[in-house]
This record gives sequence, C-alpha cells and structure tokens, in this order.
Amino acid sequence: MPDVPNSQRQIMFVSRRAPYGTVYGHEMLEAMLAGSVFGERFSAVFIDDGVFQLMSNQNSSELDIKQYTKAFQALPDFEISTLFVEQESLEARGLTSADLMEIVDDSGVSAITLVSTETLANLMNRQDVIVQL
Amino acid sequence: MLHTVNKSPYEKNTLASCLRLACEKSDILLIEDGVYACVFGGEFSQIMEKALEKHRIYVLEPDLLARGVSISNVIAGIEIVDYEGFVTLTVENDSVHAWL
Repeated sequence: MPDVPNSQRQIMFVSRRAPYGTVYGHEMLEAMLAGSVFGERFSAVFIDDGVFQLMSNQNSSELDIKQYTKAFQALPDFEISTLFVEQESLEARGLTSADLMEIVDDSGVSAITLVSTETLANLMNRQDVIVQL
Repeated sequence: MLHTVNKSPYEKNTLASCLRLACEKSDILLIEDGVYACVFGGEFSQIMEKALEKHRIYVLEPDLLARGVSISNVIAGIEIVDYEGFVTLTVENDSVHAWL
C-alpha cells in the first residue's frame, strides 16, 4: 500500500456485472456513496456487463426491485464526477453512448467518459486502491 | 500492481478481462477456481503462454492441490507459490486488483 494520506489516495471502483441479477452493482453504488462522506476521491469504471447498469430507460417497477441505478445520476452531487466506460465493452454488446443514461455535474458537463482498453489499463495501473464489485 | 483471478476461465470471463486490462509487467496470481486456467493442454493453454510474454504469472499451490490439479500439469513458466509467497507478492506490489 503506498504511503499517502487517505484523502489523497486514488480509489477506483470497477463494475463488471449487470444490474438486478446480482447485488454487486447496488453494493458498489452504496460503497461509493458511503465513502464519499469520508472525503475519499473515487472514480468508477464500467466494463463487461457493468455497462448494462448505465442503460437509460430502465424500469424495474414490475420486478418489485428498487431501481437503484437512478442514483448514479446523483453521484456528481457527492463529488463523484469521474465515471469511465470501456468503449470495447459497449461495442461488444451492441451499444453506443446514446444508450446510456445522462449523468451531468453542476455545470452540465457529462460525468461519463468513454475510454479505450489501453487508456483504461493505464488509468487502472495508476490507482492506489481498486475495488471490484 | 498484482492482479488476482479467482474464477474458472471455463465459467466466467474474469481472466479474459484481467488479461485485457492488465498493464505489461504487472503480476497475475491465480487462486481458487482461477487455478484451472493453468492446466497444460486446456483451452486456455495458448492464451496463458501468450500472457507469460507480458506478465509473471503465479498460481497458489494449496488451491491446485485441493482441486487435484497436479503441479506437473501446470503450464511451463507459471510459478507455483504457497501462502507465504502470496503474502510476499501482495507486499512487493504497490496495490492489488482482485478480479472477481
């Protein structure tokens, strides 16, 4: 573990699973919201089936499961405005950025950045802590 | 960075995603069902041999033995470590990315 103060650590959450089928995605969101209270600096990454969590037009009402993914849109309010989506994972699933929900910060800037596998690999390599859920 | 993979590559894409996103020279440790990837002659033999050109790859011996995978059957170049070796790897690396 690098010897840096907690407040300056770079922490990355990595999501690789679709919503609703398992609790992983929901748990990651909860962990990010809880962590933001302690002033940690987070980024979130969506790869593989994790990209399905960001689909717009989700409606889980008939499943009687809370549509927790709506809360992703509140992340910028918790000072989490860095969400990366792997372009290759989107394309492999027949999706484009147009299929994803809008997540914008106070200034109206999108919090979602599409990144290539190579860019993402380098970003991951620079993190102090990576939590995959 | 040390990457750990704990799922069988025959069931999940965990290993494939790890190999896609692990930077060159980062270490990879196969644990739990992840050890099935290191069996010589399996469908992942070639993928692992190619990965060995970019990474040092380790496999946890107790997980191999528990599953009846003999050490003589492990792809050449993959290093076998015990729990002490696992600890050493986590200490020597700046951080750990546990692929699940």
